[in-house]
Amino acid sequence: MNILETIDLKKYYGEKPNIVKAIDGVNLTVQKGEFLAIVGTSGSGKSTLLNMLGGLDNPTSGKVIVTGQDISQLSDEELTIFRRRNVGFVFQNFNLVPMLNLYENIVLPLDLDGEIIDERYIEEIIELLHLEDKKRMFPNYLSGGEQQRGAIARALATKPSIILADEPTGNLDSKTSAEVLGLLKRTSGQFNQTIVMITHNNEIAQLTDRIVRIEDGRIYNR
Amino acid sequence: MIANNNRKIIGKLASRSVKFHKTRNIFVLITIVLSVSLLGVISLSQSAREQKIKKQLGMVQHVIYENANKEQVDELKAIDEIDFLTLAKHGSSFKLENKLIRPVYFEKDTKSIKKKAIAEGNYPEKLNEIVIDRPMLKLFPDAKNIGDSIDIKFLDGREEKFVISGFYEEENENASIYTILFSKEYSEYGEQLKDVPYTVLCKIENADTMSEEQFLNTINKIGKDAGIERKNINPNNFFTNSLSLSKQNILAIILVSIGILFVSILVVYSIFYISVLENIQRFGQLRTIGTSKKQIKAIVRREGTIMFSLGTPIGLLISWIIAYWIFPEGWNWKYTIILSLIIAIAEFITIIISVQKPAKVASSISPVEASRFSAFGDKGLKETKELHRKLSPFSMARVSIVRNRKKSFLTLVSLGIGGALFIMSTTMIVSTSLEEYSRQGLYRHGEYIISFDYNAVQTMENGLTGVQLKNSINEELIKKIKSIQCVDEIVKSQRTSIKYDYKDVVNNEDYISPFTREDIDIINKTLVEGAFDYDGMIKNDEILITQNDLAQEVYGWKFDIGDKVNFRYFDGEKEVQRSFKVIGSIDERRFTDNYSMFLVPIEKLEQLFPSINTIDALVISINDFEKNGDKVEESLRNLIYENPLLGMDTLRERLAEDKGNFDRINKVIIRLSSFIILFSLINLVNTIITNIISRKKEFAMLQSIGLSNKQLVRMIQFEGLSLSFGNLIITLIFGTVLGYGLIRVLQYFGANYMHYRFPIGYFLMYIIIIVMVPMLVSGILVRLFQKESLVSRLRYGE
Amino acid sequence: MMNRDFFEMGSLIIIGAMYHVFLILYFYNIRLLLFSLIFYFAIMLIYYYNKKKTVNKYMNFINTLNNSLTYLINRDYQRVNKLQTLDETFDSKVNQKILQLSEIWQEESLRGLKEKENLQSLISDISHQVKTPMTNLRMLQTALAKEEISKEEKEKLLKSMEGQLDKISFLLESMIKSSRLEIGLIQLNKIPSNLFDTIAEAIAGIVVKAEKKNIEIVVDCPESYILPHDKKWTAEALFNILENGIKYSPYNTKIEVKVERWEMYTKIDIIDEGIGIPEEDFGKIFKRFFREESSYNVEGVGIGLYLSREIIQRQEGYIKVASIIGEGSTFSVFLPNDL
Repeated sequence: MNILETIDLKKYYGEKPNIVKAIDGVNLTVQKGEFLAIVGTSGSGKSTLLNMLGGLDNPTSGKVIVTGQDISQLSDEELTIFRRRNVGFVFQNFNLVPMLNLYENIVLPLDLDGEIIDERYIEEIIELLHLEDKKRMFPNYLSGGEQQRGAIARALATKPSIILADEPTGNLDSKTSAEVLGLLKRTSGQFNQTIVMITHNNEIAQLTDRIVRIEDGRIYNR
Repeated sequence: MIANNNRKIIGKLASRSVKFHKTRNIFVLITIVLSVSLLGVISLSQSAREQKIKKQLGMVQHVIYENANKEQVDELKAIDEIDFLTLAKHGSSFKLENKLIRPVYFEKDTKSIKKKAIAEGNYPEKLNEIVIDRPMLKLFPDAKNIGDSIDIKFLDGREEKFVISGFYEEENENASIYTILFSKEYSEYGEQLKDVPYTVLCKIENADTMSEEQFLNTINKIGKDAGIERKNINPNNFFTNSLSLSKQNILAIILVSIGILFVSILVVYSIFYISVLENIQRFGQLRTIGTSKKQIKAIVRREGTIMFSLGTPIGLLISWIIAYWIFPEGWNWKYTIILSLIIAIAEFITIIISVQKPAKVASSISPVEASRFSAFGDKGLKETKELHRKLSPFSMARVSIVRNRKKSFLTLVSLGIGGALFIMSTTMIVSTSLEEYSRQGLYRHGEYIISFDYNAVQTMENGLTGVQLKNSINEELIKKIKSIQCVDEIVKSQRTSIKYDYKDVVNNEDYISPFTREDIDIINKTLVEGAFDYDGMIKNDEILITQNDLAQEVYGWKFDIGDKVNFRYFDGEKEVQRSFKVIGSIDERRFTDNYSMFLVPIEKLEQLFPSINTIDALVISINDFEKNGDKVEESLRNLIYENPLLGMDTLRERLAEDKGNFDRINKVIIRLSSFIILFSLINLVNTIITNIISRKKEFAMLQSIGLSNKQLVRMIQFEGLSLSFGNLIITLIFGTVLGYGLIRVLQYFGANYMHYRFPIGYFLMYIIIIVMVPMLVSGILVRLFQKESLVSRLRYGE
Repeated sequence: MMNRDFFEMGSLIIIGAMYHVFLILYFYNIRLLLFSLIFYFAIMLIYYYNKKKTVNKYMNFINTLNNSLTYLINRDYQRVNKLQTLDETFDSKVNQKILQLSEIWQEESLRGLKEKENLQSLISDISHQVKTPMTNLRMLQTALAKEEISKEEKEKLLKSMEGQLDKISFLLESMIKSSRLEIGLIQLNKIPSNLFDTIAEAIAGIVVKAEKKNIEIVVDCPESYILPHDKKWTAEALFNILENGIKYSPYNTKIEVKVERWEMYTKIDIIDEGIGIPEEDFGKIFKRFFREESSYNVEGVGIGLYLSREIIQRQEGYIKVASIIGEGSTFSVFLPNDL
């Protein structure tokens, strides 16, 4: 079952003569439960693609279909709610809210939607990510790996249709990267969670089920 | 040791930072411009006013010696300390068809002492020539122009014929007083003026450099040398006051200035402090690459001085324009530049003080700390007690405020000070009961005062007693007044005139009033010195002094307890001379609202003046003054017009006059306190904006995980609002305490017309402003955010 | 429902009537009375209008909810997918839940299909892989059937037949293992046991091959290292990786096995000095039947690494590889420290 599908997705910047084709006709499908890596060098358009997959940005043309809904033409507010209910984000720089403790950060997307919290599930995530001792701590007192694990937990909290990870280990040392990635992979398996991760690093990408290469805004399946 | 030549980079870094932090700078600039221009306007306009007064004072006499005879005039002319003198005569005023006419004489050339100018025609030279006010011609239908002659019937019943030689400068068309200027010849030989003593108007050498006391001593000494009695020495109060007033004003200005500077210190300090907290990372980086603590401090200070050198000239320019606009005639380059310099220096010191602490904080940032430090984490909590606090836009705002304790506190303090001052000053406005203020004195008893016409009393033999001999304020009149609808009560004020000798005064005219047994308690309470016994006072010839301080002021001495005062009066049948013993003095004007120096029991007064009705005024109170005032006033006026001896004053006129005065004061109060509020608002807006901008990325992140715009706006607004509410509470508490205290202090100093009242209206206005501002600012900012895409905001600062 | 509305209406009218009687009795004033009556009716009207509106709102919501549930039960996924889920409303939240539920159902119904698909692909892979040796065998058999072949030749042919049979049996064995693993016939038993023993077991299986190529195997692991893992299968996985390493290593080299404990995982590095793997193949070598192009001359098919990965993944661990062409490769096996 396709959880995510893009149809001839294009994103152009600038005016006619100096047009920049950040994404130029991408067709991509992601299966439910798949852990997909999008690999590309910086400037290849991988971040732009991810932003459009997650509804952070609108495409110039083409469609992004997530769980059967075309999100490419939604308004700002609709996109916000779409993200809240369907997308989990893991960013390179963790992006936890400094004024909330880790637990509050994890359940924040649920609170934003006024949802009840599935305590058992959240506890399971926290345990899996080895964050039991850190729940009450503020992000500033956590290591990078712990913060990123927190971010993963936050992304999982809403049981989203898809988790988008943008260079999740970009700010971590190699050892922590390996552990965080292992956990990411483990959670994807355990909760049958679909994950799309972008990275420039083949060593990281090899852990995924499938690798897609992007260059100059186009996808090369090899 | 030679200092390292690495100072240039400081300036460069500082100016870069200034260019980078635009919003902060705008707020610091506004603060500096505001405080400088405020200081400038206050001090420059005061200086301009003084200049203007000085110019005016240059045209008036310093002192008048009254009732001087020829010999005394000659003596005065010989005294060196008198710079210049000119002679004048004032004849007895009289009424002509409801208008008061004042016959005067003054010299043709009064040099620097300004007199009423003659606009048309010539100064009267011949015996029968006069100069008059043109509107006065209405009283003489035959006369139209210069050269026409008019017949004037004087007070003594004599009618004389004069030729108009000129007109005064046009004044109020409906003035109630007209002045007739006679020639020098007439002043010496004319029937109306020949026996009138001279009035000598003098200018004293170097008077404007003296203190008030020195000046008074000088003029008193001159008077003594020329043999002029103390009571005939009339210093120009306007001039005398200017000698001490300017000092008081300067003191007040300095105090206000210090207040303004203090507030600006708070605002600039908190803005810089917040900016330093926001830039911890930048300072940490600088420290990492080898910037010394001293250099960091220097950078922050330099930023301050850059702001100073930008803001001060703008502020000064604004203040010059405003000051010139207020008092163009008082403009003086020398003072302007001196004052501007002083202000600039004061402002500079203010800025330096303000950035001292932030600079220190910036310099104490260690390179290691910087990488971890965020504006939130400093010594903040490591973890929470509860696992999961309830999260909503409101609670998140609250959490953020608590986490930003320092910032929030600073903003709250400066906001609170502004608010408390505002409430305090508006408390003063609303606590002042205008009606009670106006009702001080006889108006306490009612709304209309019927008393004797000034003219009538002046012209009657035996003065007031003479009028009272056939008193028009009699039972018949009272009955008539009582028959007017709505009249509630009539209070009779009694007094009559006497002459007394005491110390150096002889045959001095003053008044004596009665009090009753019911007043004994109040008199006991207000007794300043001495003691009294009501019945003893009836039995023996004893008096109480009511206004000993006034005597001190006018004559230079006080009535001493135990002394005898020699009274001369007309008791209705015969002239009496009798000696009275001073047994006490009181400080309560209630019994002598109409002014009199001496007080005796009412029974005693009746004994002393057996055949005289001693009522000298009636105070009429009516039901529902607001509604019936106009009607009653008209009826009363009609009644009064029947009798030329009577005049009437009304509370209505008094209220209008006092209202004008208070409105002026209130305007100044409101203007000052709104400036202070403006300062704190700058601070509030700055806090909100820096808070939002510094968390741009955080907000973007929240939005990326599904915080909707509405939720974001609500969260930010809640943050601003909690500051507002904190401020409102501080304002409410401190404003109330300060306001109440102020009113108590003022009451202690005799402002009985003040009653504490909370300024609800002003407070509501303040609430609206304080609540609206954060709502608006956050709404606008979030809208501005929307222009930038979420993605680029997420990448912000990477 | 009807009764309650009736009662409410009645009591309101009675209260209104009483109030107006009171008004008439005590403050008789026609204007006041009129005003009060109009006011009273206005309030009544507004109240009823609002109540009706609210009731309608909720009724509508319940209706839509009912419809949505009907779609769901009817498996009308097209309609379900069209439900509005992107409003800041409660309805939209409920719709989201329904959508999620439908997805879970679809997912579950597809799971069996997916397993079938997996099996099919396995079978097709096997038949594909077995095809070559079978053809070879057939050819060899035909050759043997000829009478004029010499004894040496016969022996040679028999030997290659043996090789092909080995290959088939190896293939089948691997297939059976992997299919059992994949289908879930084999349950891995994660119990705390000594990792050192497991590594020793794996090495024991390849010692002969290593000695043949004079490859030294160095182990850096505490002799007592307790880690929850399935001994038998983990040894199998390590064995496959070691075997692969030896296969692509030249003579007289070294293979190092290094165990390191991290915060959450235990890392087992298997470092060889072999030919190396190009970076773009990192993701592919763990695929079923993948073999690097440069290594066709070496025996064996690419199922060992695939199997290893399956085994490690079934224990919540993962494998990754790092390599430099010409210098060697490092396979890292990560096994979680917890159960």
